[in-house]
Amino acid sequence: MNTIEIKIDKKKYNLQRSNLRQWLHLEDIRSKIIEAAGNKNIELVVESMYSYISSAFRFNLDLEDLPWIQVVEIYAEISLLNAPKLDFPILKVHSKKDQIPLWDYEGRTWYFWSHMLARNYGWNLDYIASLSIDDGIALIQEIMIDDQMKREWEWSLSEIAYSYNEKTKKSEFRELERPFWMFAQKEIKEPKKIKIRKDMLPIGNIISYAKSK
Amino acid sequence: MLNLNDALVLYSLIGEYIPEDSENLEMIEFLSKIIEILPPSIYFDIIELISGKNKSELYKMSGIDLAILFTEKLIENQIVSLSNFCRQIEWHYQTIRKT
Repeated sequence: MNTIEIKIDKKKYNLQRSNLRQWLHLEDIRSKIIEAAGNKNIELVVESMYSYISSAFRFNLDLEDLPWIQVVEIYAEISLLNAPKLDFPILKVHSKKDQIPLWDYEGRTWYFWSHMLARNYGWNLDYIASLSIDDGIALIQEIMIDDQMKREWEWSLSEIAYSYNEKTKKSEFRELERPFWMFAQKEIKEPKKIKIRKDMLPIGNIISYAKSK
Repeated sequence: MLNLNDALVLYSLIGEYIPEDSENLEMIEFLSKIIEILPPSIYFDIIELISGKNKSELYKMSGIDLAILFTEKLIENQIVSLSNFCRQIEWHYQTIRKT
């Protein structure tokens, strides 16, 4: 579904799925909404919600007189229209709040992403802006994996990757930490059943968990 | 129905008193739980906001009429959906406090 019809005040509008640049802009506004809600800043939540909808339509809409539920429904429909179609690990939320670097500014996400794509593929800004949302995210993830692998290789060649263990009197390799989304999801396996010889079992009346239930 | 700004003002007043399990409650049970724990000053602030009447008009009304106005307007403004939306955008309140 790349186009949806949205009704605002008896008028019908067709809305298309955003391109990469517009999606990044919408995601920036969404973060602002969540941050403002966390701070209970009503004015900023309202302003950002209206800005989110108007940005998706690419023109200003007068939403102030609409019932709140209609505004929220439009917001939800736009979010759904622009949701990534694949489950990208890179988009998984980090439990710890990322620290915002000093060199950050409003709207930097687009420049950060376009810089990475331009550096790796040599594309111009217009071309990158017009990429589909899923292509953009998938390529950024691949670039970040490549960069991480390169850093790990360089790390393995440096002296600081090896620390001396006095107990074993050997140098041990310390792995370079990976970003949270690169950790494999560990499955918890059921422990293997091992047979124990009767004469090795503890003496006395044994009450097993299964019997005690 | 209230616009978004007024709806969020309403939630900022009432959100703290909305039971966590509001979705599982019948509307009458839900509203009576709120009325039970709502301080009078906030109760009047909410009715003033959702009815558009000023405080002097409200003070002239009987307790039952106020309660009817309060419940009707909260239902009209879909208070449960408003609460769900605010919780989704992480507008968290502590759980229901003292009774």
